[in-house]
Amino acid sequence: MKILAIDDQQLVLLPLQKRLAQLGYEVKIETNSLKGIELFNSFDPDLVIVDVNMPIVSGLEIVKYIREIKKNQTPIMVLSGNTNDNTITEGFELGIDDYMKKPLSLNEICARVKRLIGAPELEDATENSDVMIQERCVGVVIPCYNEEERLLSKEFTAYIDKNSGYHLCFVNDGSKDETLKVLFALQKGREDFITVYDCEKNGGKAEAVRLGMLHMAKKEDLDYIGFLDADLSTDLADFDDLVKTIENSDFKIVSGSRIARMGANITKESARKIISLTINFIIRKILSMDFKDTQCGAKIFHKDVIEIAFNKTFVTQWIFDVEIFKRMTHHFGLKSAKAMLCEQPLKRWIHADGSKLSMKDSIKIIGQLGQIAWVYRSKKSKNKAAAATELNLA
Amino acid sequence: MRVLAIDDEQLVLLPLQKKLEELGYKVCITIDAIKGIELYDTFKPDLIIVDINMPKLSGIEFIKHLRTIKKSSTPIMVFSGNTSADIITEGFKFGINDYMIKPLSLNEIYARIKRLNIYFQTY
Repeated sequence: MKILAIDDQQLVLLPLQKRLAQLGYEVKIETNSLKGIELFNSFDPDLVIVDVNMPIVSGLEIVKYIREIKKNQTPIMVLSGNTNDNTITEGFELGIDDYMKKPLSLNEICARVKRLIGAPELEDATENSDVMIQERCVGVVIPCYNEEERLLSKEFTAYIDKNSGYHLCFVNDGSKDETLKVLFALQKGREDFITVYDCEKNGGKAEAVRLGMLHMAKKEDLDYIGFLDADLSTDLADFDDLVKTIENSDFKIVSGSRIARMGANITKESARKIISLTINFIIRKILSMDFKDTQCGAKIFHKDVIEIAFNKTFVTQWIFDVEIFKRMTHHFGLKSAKAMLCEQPLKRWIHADGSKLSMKDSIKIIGQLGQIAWVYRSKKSKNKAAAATELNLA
Repeated sequence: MRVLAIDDEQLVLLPLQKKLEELGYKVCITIDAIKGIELYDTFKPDLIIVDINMPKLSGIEFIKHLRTIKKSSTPIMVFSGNTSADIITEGFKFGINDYMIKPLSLNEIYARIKRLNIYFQTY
């Protein structure tokens, strides 16, 4: 039994193909809808699974082509995050056989496929899979510096094996130990879901994150890209909460916030607490934003703003987050930037032992904040000066 | 066409009944799945729409009863807020024809019913 699956996001197609192939179906996948139509003609599938929202040719146009031009009755199932009532009813009117709304589990997809076209007879039926097919695809950049000993490889691989729609990008920031080797071992066999980006020289966390974010922005199938600390102070399940917020809102950046409160497991050193409060007070003044915590290492960005936030090297190393928000303000204006940012309290944040930021370092941050205030203020006045020059010339 | 709809919440059943009757279907509703089994015998529906989480008798038990004891092949569509993959796959294992997850619009329900009708007329 042959199945053709068309979706512009490869991260959706790969687990689907794997699972259906395990069940004995012959599966071909295609991310380009025009090539999908060619494949429909050459592959002659028994079932077509198609997404709706795709560039060039939409899923419903493919359905129209199959039903109206080719006069072909091959079963068609839509697999889409589009829950618009008109789209669904239009799909059924065009003659689709099922409309599956993402997110849904691979098991459910397989049960629906089996109901529609039956299942190949397999001697060794494989176990059920609890993988969910998600509506969105997310890239996560994880900067790593000398993480050979403490990288929680199993946690990362277990998460991406179970949760589709994630692509992790580990950036080796010129580690002196065997981090790169550990990362390649972690990537082995999961190359479609894990990227290792190697920076030969140690450029600091800010630069590692920046290069990773720009690298991931080149991947067309990602909707959102974020970054996360390698020590998993915030774990991937909590990161997923940030993803849920950004995908269900108009925010362009959702930033994790380590606010201690009832019902949340937020642990910080007490010395850190006092310094954090002082730093945070200064940050609020610099940004003119009522941020509770800018420095949390878990943030997610809409792809649209990656270039704005990361195109230029950061002035500071540890508080580049503040620079990101400053860049947003410069680009969009304070009012619009504020409307694009969401600070989301995390359920869990554990200050891991061996974290490189000491109390002494924290004091240095205050100096770096002064640097940001100066650099970005002068940029503003430079812009004003440039604008004034332009006006004079005109 | 006769439709039997079973859901323990009458507030769900009433608009569904109204919509389907407007479209020309003969609709019988009940909030009790056990009574639903009796209605299956007396009302003789062409389609059953059933919820999953119900007291006394769950939707899965209702489906199991119909498919295994009554040996019924009447099309069954589940209409439930239960999104558990295990329940959904169990439903399909017992031969349901569709699993609709709440919330969804009455228009979508109607589109799915129409599709099911075509399917049964064609195959």
